[in-house]
Amino acid sequence: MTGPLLSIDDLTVRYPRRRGEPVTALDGVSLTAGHGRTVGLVGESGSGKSTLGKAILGLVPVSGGSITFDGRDITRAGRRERRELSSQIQVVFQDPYGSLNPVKPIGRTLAEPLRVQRTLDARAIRARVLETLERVGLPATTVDRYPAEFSGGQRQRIAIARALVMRPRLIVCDEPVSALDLSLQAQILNLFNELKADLGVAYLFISHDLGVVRYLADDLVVLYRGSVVESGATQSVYDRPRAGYTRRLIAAMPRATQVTPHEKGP
Amino acid sequence: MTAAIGTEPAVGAPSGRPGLARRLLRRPLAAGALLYLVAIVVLAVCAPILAPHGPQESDLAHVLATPSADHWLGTDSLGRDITSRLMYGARPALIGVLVTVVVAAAIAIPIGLAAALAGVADRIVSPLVDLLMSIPAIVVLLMVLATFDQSLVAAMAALGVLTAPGLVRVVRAAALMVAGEPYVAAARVYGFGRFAIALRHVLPRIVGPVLVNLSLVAATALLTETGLNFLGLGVHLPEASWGGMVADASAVMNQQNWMLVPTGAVIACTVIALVLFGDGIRDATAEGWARPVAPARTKRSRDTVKGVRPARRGAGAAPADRPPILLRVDGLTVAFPGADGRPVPVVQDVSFELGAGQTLGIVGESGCGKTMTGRALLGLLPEGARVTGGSILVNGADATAMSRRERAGLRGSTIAFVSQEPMAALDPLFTVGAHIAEAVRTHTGAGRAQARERAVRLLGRVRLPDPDRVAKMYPHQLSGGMAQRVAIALALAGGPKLLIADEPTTALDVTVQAEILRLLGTLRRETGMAILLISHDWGAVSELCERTLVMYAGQVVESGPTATIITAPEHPYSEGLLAANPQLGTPGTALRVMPGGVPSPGEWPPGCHFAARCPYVMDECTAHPIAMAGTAEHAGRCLRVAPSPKIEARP
Repeated sequence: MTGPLLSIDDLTVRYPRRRGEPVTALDGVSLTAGHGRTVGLVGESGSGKSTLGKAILGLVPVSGGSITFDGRDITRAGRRERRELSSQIQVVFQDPYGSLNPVKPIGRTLAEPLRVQRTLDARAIRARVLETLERVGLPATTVDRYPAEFSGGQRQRIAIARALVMRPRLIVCDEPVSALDLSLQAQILNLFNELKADLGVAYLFISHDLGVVRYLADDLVVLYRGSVVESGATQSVYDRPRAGYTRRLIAAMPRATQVTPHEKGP
Repeated sequence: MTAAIGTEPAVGAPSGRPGLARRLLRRPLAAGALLYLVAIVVLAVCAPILAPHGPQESDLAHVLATPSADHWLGTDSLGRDITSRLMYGARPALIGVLVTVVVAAAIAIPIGLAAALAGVADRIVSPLVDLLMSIPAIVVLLMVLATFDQSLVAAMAALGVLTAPGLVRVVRAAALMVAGEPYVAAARVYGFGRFAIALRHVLPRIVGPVLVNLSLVAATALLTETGLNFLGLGVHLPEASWGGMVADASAVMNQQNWMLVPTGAVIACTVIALVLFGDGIRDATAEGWARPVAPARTKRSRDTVKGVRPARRGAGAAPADRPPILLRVDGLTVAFPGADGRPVPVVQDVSFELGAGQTLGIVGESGCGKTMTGRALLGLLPEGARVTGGSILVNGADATAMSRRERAGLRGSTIAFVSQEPMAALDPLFTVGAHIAEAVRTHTGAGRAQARERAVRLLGRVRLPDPDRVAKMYPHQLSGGMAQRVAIALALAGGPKLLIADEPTTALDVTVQAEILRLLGTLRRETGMAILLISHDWGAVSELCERTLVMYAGQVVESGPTATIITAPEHPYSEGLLAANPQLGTPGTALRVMPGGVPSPGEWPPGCHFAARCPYVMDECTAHPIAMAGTAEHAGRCLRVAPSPKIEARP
């Protein structure tokens, strides 16, 4: 337990194409995430940030390098190992509308991962589901309702509950708040922080929004075209960016505080 | 609930929702179809008990009889009872349909799912399906009948095999769509295999289209079965079959044409029933998980439509240093028809002015009416929505009173529009240059060469490098940022006085967002056009806009100079929205949040729309509609804003 929770070393992911050269989505990426820490992963579309999340979750094949979780190599974990890992590593996606199966009541969606594990009996599963719903601030009646009955913010709470129900140690969050309105986004960001403080869960927080990441992440990794261009403690990267791309990214953040009025004089 | 735990953890039957059968029976057409099909099955199965006569029993005294007490539907040329023969004839028909449907489904569903979920399978299945679909069915059926001693079951099974490829395509296409959803990826994270995903997540979602197609397969099978029997193939004479009865009837058509009526009617009704049943079961399955019917719209919110007019300057009060008024919106109300036919407002009593060359931001969350306000200004409201009150004065002329043509003339030449999805504005078949040249010609009547030249100039104007080359590009060759620049060039083609930009940067990368905002600012200075920026992003609005309107649940809740609103917001919603911005939050401390969410149109309270989420709420807030208060410069729709003694007072 002394080492980092997640350690990625020289990871390369190439997508094969029908014709021509394969596309390199990640090229020699290395990063570590400590227990109970939030690592922000920032980059623009096409930078490979989502691919990195998928590689950790085993959703894309890895071409080179290694992923170590809690001292154990999971780079090419098989299905059985993945099933076991799913109680440790979970995921929250961006799209609160597509990330829940619309034909299943919420209770079943939440119970499903627990049933796959076959470690809890039905009664314990139910108790865990209700407890988790309460944890994310949803009423117990949620179990019988369908995704369509919930708003975007509520659905994202449900998606977080689904990740939490396994009591994971790492949650990969792929743009989990970028589809939400500002006031709902703030509610969810607070929830992420509460869960981290109460349960000691670590996050890999993938986002294009530097503002969100600056607020939430302990450490920051900046990806550009499949490579890490900068990493370090969030505040120091933010205050003293070294890479040119990071500087551009920070400069591009529209800041509500810095008003540049074009007002006409009286 | 506890009783259900044993079998189904976490959830019993969804309470408050009727089961599939109940939902099905609630649809009159589907219920009728189901009833009819059940009746046919019962009559066929119980034919030996229920039929008034034997299928071969001849009553030679009554040949080709019309309906009578003894023979309800008459008799055929051998005096056999038509009612009884229809009942017996239903047996091979139903068996045939069942065999075809079962065979087709058993082949198509697993293969279609496999093709959708495993690339290897797809590479084999797809070409094979294409090949199989080119085989002429009737030839194969005749060969099967010849080989298997006229066995109808064999022929119908063969028909099932032949229809399967079409069904494979349906299953594959539907499953591919579902397989791309994030929840399928989430299931893979739990360690589900492909098989389990197909069974638990994909199949339940595609049940609808599959059932509809199976009902069509059933209908086709029934027609094929009767067709084969009409030709004398399949059921051995003198056994009864519907096709055989049509053949009998057609043989004696010149003497007695009644016989065709009951037989034809039964076949037609059964086909229709199969199709309707398929439709019904699809809708009923979807209803199980789809959004419940919207709650009845309350009429309370209507009362506030005629709320107090907001603070605004008198028309003649414009000081000399103010630019001439380009756009003046007064009491604009937009409504959709509600469930009970009453209009439900989505934009309520919005008023503002925009001078030539000025920039105004509209900020708010989704559901606050920002986009609908913009669409109303453009005269491009979605189907059903109507401007039910107020006026939109463009250069002094009321746009709401204009004809469709006048309105169209206004768009592009006076008011232009840029949306969140620039690609949607571009036809993939035409080059960028062709798009802009067309817009130039529409607005200016310029010649071809001239328009072409102007298009390239416009592309240069939106700071696209190498405009000549960009003009020759097709939309799919553009990046998101380039496409947005092209969309802006397109909007500039008519030389507009006002550009309405609805979330123009939301879909773009952060660095590109900043570039587009800067471009809009530059263009405004160069062309002198006014800009109305609709955005959820305080940052974007503060970059570009002098003044800002904050909208909440259909109303303007605050209006004032952007810098003032950001530093000293008057309305608690503006305050909450600013505090929720993580950019301004301190890491390690919780963001200040507003509880709950924006109420839907139709659920707006009669008093302050924000009252339920407001930290400063008082009793008076919920009693009556709240008016805008404050100065013309900076006003808020809140009782806490000190009402100014004289609204006209300006520094």
